[in-house]
Amino acid sequence: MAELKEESKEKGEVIVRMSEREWEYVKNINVKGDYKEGFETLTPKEQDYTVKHLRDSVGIEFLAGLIFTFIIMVWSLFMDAPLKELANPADTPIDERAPWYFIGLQEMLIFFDPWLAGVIIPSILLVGLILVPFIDPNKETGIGRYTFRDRPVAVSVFGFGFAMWYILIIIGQFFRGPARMFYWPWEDKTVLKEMPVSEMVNFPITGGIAFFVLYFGICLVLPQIIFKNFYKTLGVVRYYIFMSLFAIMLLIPIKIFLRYVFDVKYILSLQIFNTALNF
Amino acid sequence: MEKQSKEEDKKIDVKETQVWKAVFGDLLFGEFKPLSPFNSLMRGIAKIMQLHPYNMSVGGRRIITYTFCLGGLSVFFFSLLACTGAFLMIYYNPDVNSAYANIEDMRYIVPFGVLIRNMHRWTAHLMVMFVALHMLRVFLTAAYKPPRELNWIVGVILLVMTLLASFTGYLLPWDQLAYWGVTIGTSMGENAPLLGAKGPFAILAPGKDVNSILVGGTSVGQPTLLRFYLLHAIAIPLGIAGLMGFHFWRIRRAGGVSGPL
Repeated sequence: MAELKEESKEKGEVIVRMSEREWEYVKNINVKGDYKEGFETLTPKEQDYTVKHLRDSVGIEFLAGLIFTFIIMVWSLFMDAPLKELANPADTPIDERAPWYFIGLQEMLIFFDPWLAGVIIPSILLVGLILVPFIDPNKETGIGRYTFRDRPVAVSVFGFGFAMWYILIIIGQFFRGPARMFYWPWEDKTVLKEMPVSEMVNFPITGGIAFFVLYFGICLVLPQIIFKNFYKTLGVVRYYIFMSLFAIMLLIPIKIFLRYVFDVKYILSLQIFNTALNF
Repeated sequence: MEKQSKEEDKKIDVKETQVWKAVFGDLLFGEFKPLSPFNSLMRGIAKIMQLHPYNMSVGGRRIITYTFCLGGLSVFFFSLLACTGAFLMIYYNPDVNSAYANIEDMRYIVPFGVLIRNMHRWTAHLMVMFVALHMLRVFLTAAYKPPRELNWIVGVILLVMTLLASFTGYLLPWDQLAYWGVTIGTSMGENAPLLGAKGPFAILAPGKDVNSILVGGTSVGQPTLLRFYLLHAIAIPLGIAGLMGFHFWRIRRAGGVSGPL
């Protein structure tokens, strides 16, 4: 393959080193600027070399389509799509589960109330995803290539969220048995596990409020003091939106940790106008 | 020198073989004779479709690797789903009394019914996976940065619509798996704050809340099946197709999948 060798002194100029074969391919087709003939070529811009993309790619795509159709057909010949007995609203199965891509949400139902797990958290997730291009202060680096070094924060935060979503799915799909109890792969899922004996506790209300005030205080203020450059590049509005979204995302593993280690049912349980708001 | 040239002769260029030329070469998008009507027709189609640039820079061509094909494969899965889905529609009736029997007919009576149903199901799973992986690729190669912000948002909407398409299709076989899976899924809407009947600060009565728009009542039943069928077979696919057209058009307007091409 041709590769970018070095940037020349004038802006936008690049030297492209390519093999003889590549040169033979490239030299006959559209070159807009001046160029030196040879294997090592100076062009005004790398983009000025063009190859016949449509002609080359459509055949490859057609082949890829054929191959995938073939794979899916063979797979479908040997693996039947699941079909259980006729739906019966009177008979709740002990192991009811959502389709796999929503099992992450179902998994969160164990740790959060349904209005949080099913409505608020997915909404925040979607809003966060939509805001991604506007939160990222860096408008130029890393476009068109995989790089961690140039965008460490963006890649690690997104990677963390993406990984968490799929870890929840994997746990929900493969590690949950009857009544959504946790089963190791070597444990028999047909044997119903006993419910844990220890009772779950709530934080006292003052403790819960103190926890959230402290938590969001630390998440919002501490990075501002420690990573001053980070705060500067983001700007005030972007910084607060990003840090609150990030803090909310981190609350999910924190709640799971508190549930499993300290048997905490709710961090904050409020009673407002006959409505229980449990976090 | 002679030895070297002989070695080069031995290497077979796939694109120079007769099979390749016969299938893809002059027939599809190869070098056409100047005044061939087929040539102008194909060029016209290519111009209308605008899925690929006719020419691409060497630098742009280089960045296109396997992971850059995840979005394209999602489109392919979508068209495969449309074809198999159209076939399934012939034998399916969205009625709680006959839906399950229709599916059993497909398995045991309809010629190739079981194959087409399996393909539809597995391709749907693949599409959900590949759309998510495509989003990961777009993020990691920073393809959401200007001028592609709008396309990222359209992509997020397409991801949600893909999930919804798969979810609405989940109910149609009307078996225990479908019924209880969808019951769990739709019960989430019931718990929405303010607008759900069971959520905090509920202001709407059961059967009249936001969940009942989707379910058509207080629990999953015949109205739900019909609504999910219409969503699955008409509304969501049309929405996805329209948004996908916009998605591709924006890619070409922005000058390529990620970097300038």
